[in-house]
Amino acid sequence: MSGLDETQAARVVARSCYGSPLAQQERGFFVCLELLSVLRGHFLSGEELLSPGDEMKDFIRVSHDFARRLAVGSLHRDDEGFESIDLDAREPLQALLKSLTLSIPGQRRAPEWFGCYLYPYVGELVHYDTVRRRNQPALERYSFRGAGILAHEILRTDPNHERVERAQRGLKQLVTNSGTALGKLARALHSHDHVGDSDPWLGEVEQAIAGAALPETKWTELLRRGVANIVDRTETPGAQRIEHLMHWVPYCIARHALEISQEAAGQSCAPIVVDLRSSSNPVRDLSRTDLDRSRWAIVNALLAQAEMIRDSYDAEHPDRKAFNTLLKSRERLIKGPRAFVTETLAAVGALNSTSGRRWFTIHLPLMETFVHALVPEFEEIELDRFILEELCHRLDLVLDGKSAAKRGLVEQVDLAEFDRNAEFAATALRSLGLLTEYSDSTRMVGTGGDR
Amino acid sequence: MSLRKNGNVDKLAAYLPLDADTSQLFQEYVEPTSEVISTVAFDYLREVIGRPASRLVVLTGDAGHGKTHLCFRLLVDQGVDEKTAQEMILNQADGSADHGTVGGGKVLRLIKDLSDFTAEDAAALLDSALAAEGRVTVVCANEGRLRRAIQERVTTLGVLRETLEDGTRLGKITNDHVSYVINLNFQSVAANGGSGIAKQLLKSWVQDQRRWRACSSCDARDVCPIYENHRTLGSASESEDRRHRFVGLLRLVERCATVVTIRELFIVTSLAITGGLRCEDVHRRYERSHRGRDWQHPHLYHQALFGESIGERERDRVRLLRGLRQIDPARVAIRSVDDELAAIEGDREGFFLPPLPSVDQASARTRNQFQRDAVSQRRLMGFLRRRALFNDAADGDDLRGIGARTGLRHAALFEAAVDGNLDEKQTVALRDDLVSGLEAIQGVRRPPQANLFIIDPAFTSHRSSASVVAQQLPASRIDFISQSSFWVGQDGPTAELKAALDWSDRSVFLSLTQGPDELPVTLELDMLRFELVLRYAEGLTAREHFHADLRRITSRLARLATATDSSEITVLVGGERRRISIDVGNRVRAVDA
Repeated sequence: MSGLDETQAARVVARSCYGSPLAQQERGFFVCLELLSVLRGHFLSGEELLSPGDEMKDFIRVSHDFARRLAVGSLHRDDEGFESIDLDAREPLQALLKSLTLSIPGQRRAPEWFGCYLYPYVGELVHYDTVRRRNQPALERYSFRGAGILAHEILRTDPNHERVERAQRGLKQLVTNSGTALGKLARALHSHDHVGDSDPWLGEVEQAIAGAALPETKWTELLRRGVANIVDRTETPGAQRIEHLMHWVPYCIARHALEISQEAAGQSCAPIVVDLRSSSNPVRDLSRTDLDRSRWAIVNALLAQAEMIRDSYDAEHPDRKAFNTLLKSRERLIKGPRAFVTETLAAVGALNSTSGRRWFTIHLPLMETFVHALVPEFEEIELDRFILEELCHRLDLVLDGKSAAKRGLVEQVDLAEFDRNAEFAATALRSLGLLTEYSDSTRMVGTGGDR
Repeated sequence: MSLRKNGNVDKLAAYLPLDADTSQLFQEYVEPTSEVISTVAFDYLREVIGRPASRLVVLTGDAGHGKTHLCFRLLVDQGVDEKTAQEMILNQADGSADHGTVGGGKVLRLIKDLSDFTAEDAAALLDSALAAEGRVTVVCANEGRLRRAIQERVTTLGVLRETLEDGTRLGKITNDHVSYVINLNFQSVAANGGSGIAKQLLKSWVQDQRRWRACSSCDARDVCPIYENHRTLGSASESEDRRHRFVGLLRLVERCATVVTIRELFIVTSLAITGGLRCEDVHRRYERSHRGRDWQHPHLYHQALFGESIGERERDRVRLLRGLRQIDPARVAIRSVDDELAAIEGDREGFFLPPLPSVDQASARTRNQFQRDAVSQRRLMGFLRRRALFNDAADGDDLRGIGARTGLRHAALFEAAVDGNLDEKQTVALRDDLVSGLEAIQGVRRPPQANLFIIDPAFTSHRSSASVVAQQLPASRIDFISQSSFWVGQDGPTAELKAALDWSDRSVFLSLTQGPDELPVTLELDMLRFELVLRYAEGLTAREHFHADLRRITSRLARLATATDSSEITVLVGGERRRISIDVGNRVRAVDA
């Protein structure tokens, strides 16, 4: 009897660590795309969204391969459905679909059709992963490897019932049929898909994640809270709510993984230093150190976990060998989760770039997402409190002098540098229209009403 | 003859922030007999506290609107002499003492500043004021402080927040006739009509000849910029027109969404008249040179008004000055205006001109010299443009109007739209322009049309070459009205805010109605946004800079992008309009245009 091979063993380690084998392929926006495809699948199969209970319900998978092939121009004369698009309509449709495809940070070449994902602005555009098998489209996972399921399970197992209801209601609005012109078009194209909708289905990965006891961190709580706040907004257009979800869900999952690693590696979960300024400065150096530390935490956590699993087997066990090899040549073990975390953070704008010299930052769309996720609709919070209580205490991000002092950075960097950093946060919020300034120097953060 | 000090100038100079002594600016410390400006707010406040049901009147708004001054005036109105009233404001206006009775036998209490209390105490005070019968309490509170206090006890004080928000949204000042919130941020210092606040102030400060009598026997009079300001604004034949434009400029600032408080008005007007100088400063310079005419130019009113005579940091401290800098005519080049400037450079009006750049370009040899020349050239042009704003004959030409000279090319149109002075033809033209502007903001450029395309919000947040039209709105369903008529239309007679304050409309509402039975979606445009939309119609694209404004407009429009019954879909590709229909069997067909 032969044991596990190394790749499988690596997956076992990552899964036992994080609840899902985080892989580089599912980085960034894919987390949210997977989540939405499950929700849409439940909607299509008539299930209640986020329905509670021990088991996750089966969901229907949609490929949208026709629209995706049309978008990248790889639809051929002899493909079925080709004739159902008028010649004159082909070019405008292609341009349209092209502008709806998700751009993936760090991607250098235009992807082939199966690497091209439609931005799920309306429910009708949501789809599952599709690959090419023998030159034909087939519903199969490539980028959807479980991080989205993890998010789904975290949301579903929320003990706060009122919040689950809010999330259910809001999410349903987003994945239901919108009936808009764009939605109608998407439905028409969907009917020409090579792969029809699957029967309600639940894969191995889904079953494994849904069946396991998932680790809880503060980020699970934040994910639930933020999602409810984002989808519950009546004043924000649906397309914007989707954009915020696309940033918030991956961000929380990445930070969730990071926190688990830090705990397992025995690191204190100190808040992360964030640099918002455009030029090099002492805060940035601290931020880079923090990033290094975070990446090491992931490595150490995985190594510790692998050792633990290995030691749980006796010497003759056939699987033991694979773990031994993993621990010797670590690359295969650590690469996936580590790349997942950093590239996810980079994709949503929490790191300055996907490669090269990197540090923590907050890009404008992410900043907007933070406000929408943390400050309930129609409420406002003072800027100082937003930075200290929400960003520092809740999200563990150090921006201003006060939070820096709290983390004990006084001796390393002049606190004034941090305050300058915080001013940039104010500027960012102002340019997003999320800051109201009153004369008595009260500055309030909130999505405000109309003004 | 001798050098004489004018008491009036000293009094004005006391308002300036540049002085260490800014005590003139706070009612608590001001001499009781100083300026009395009559405001609509005071009459209205007196009337409201006399209403039988009223218990709590909150005066809110930025610091400097005269909230405490209103309390002081209430005390004086109760028959208290001014000196005692002053003391009472300082020591007793904390909501504990009764100050006589008002209409219906109610006892009057005052809280001069909610910021004197912690948020919890403030909430408790508001709460007890709301509950007390036979008593009316007037409370002054900054908006930020007020909101914080309300947060402490949302259950009982929530009504105040509602009123505050309805005030901004619907022009209401009360929801239950028990508690009132008057938001002085809507007070206009440059209201149209007889007795605007700025107008009264100018009248008292520069027009009143008695106050300037001391100057007639002063030796320095001929070279005195302060006296020159008095002459040009107060006694010359064109002065009335200049004062009118002065107020007009302030109104422009207000309409660009800058709140102007009375305190700031005092500061800036005093800065404009004195040029930031006192008599002693002028005398000192006079003694240095009896005939020097090259130092006065930054102190002339049209220069000082834009903060020319003070440093950048001081300028930044006063919001009104920042607002004025935003619409500084010195930065706007209009050919037909500039051409005439050069012609009058040498005449008698050039009395206190800034140093002229060297006429002979050849004399500048080094880079430094060139730079110096460029700076003085720029300064001279700025000076002349600002002066021309007040001096030029106002002709009907839109390009030369005050608005255009300040860079707000569509100011006149905005004014006409707000006042409802557009005839049918102009209305249609403006509506067409607004339609093109709104489309351009959503990324659509096409020749003027009779209907407005609402682009699916999936395509507006990022730059895309193709988009789907979610709805088409016939232009006849697009309407614009002024802020106050919008309020009346929404809420009828309870929209009292306009009557409660010195008023000038600061925005137009664009209402877009989807169907006959549906509520319109409204879009509020102040002058800057109005300008932005119309400039977009003309071809401007500035996504980064106006991100917040554009985002707000597009998310408002997104509400119109609802489900549709039409089987035909309009797609825009590279600016070209294509129609697609979905046929039987989900066949996608192109419809011939």
